[in-house]
Amino acid sequence: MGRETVRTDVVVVGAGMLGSAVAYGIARRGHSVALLDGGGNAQNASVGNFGLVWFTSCFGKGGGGQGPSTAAGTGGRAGGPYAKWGLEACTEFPEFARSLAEQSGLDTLFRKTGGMVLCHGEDELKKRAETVSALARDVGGGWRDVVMLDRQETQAMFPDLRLGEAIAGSSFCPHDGYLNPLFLLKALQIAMQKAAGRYCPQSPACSIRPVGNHFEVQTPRERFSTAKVVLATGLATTSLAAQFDMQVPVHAEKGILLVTERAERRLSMPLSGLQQSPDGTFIFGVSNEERGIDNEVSLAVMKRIAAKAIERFPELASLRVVRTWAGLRVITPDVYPIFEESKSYPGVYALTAHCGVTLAPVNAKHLSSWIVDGRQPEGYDFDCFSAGRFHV
Amino acid sequence: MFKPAYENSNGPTVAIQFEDRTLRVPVGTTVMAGVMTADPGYTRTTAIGGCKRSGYCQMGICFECLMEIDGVPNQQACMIEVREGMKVKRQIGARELEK
Repeated sequence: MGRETVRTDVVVVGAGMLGSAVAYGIARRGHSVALLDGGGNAQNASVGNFGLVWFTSCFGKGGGGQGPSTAAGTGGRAGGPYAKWGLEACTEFPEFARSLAEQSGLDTLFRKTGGMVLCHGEDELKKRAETVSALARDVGGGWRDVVMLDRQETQAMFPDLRLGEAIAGSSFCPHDGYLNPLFLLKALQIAMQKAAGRYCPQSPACSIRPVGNHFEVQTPRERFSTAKVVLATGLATTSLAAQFDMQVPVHAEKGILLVTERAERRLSMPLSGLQQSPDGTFIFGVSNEERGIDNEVSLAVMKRIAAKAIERFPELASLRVVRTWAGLRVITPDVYPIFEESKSYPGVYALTAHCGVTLAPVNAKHLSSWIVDGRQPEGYDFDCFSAGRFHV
Repeated sequence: MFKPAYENSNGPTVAIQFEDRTLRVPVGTTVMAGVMTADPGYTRTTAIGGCKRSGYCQMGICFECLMEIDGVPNQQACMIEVREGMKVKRQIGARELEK
């Protein structure tokens, strides 16, 4: 066990997309921060995702950006603020990606292309139109910028790829885009270190103890003495937060991705569940299975995903799949983020948000300010992100 | 540059076509090993940078040996056995999609 005690303003437990963004924000504000990376498979969601900057997913239960077939709940107090959080993130992303590349020397390959949800059949198109107009009415913000396209207009967006017969139309959101999520994660961690933050690999938090008005965090290598502790540990957040009297309900939702061989560039815009990366590989998703902590891929689900991709663009049928994996999304009961400070242990925070990629700019900016200065972001009904909304 | 590490010059062979050349190669060898006896220099160009590459690991891991075999693009030449009359071409850049 570590002998030296390292003093720091904040310890961020969990070096996934959310923890890394927050640690980056804290370091940029000139505070000392240690970012603990558990290593191994600890960051499943951050390294296993689709790489979408996806305003389209910023709405409530059943959303998750998983396509038009799921029913969207537009209610709930956190819906409006979440959409606003998402819109601010998407609006700031170009500048965020640019300055992050400058600070880290690593380009995330971010492109703001707009994004599309394809609708299979007239019923799905009609349902999607109703969902979008309900979101525009009830949630507003960026949802008013989402437009419905008929089949012909949809095909016109893809001059180099033939749209499948079953596609009736689509919704198009101008705020969306994509990037390489591995590069984003790495860039956040490098930029944090350049701002004098400390990245600690292979450092799961073995214990977190309150000592006076400080906390002691022990890893296999070091011991930290810190004023504040941020828990951003994905699916492990529920059990860790419970130690500090916070109830943070999250569960795992499995999504399987298929990656094809490289091919000529034909698809310039990401779709829900289908995109072509700048290096030419097509990536197919998106499945949802609730099976707990289980990241096995199954042939049946893979077949369904591939069949859907071919239904959208028949020319993809000739491509071979060269890689596949399952990622586990970290999902709260209403899919909105939870940003919570412990009442029993002030200075301990639990954070969780699906869409750690999309929300990176605002997570870095607003959450770091909230944690180090106690300032809630202006213009937000920030308390609605508390887990208290589940305990009425 | 490349010579077979085994002595079976009297063993059975098959004829394969590599680009515009016909090669006689031992039965049971891989496409990659067969093509290398002809000193091809390179067997593919990369999808992004257009760099010249050839097989590296020879055991199916590195994907550097991608070639077009009997009209099918992006085949791992180190994992496929030669057959009589096989047509092998360099994989040039990213494959096309079928129309």
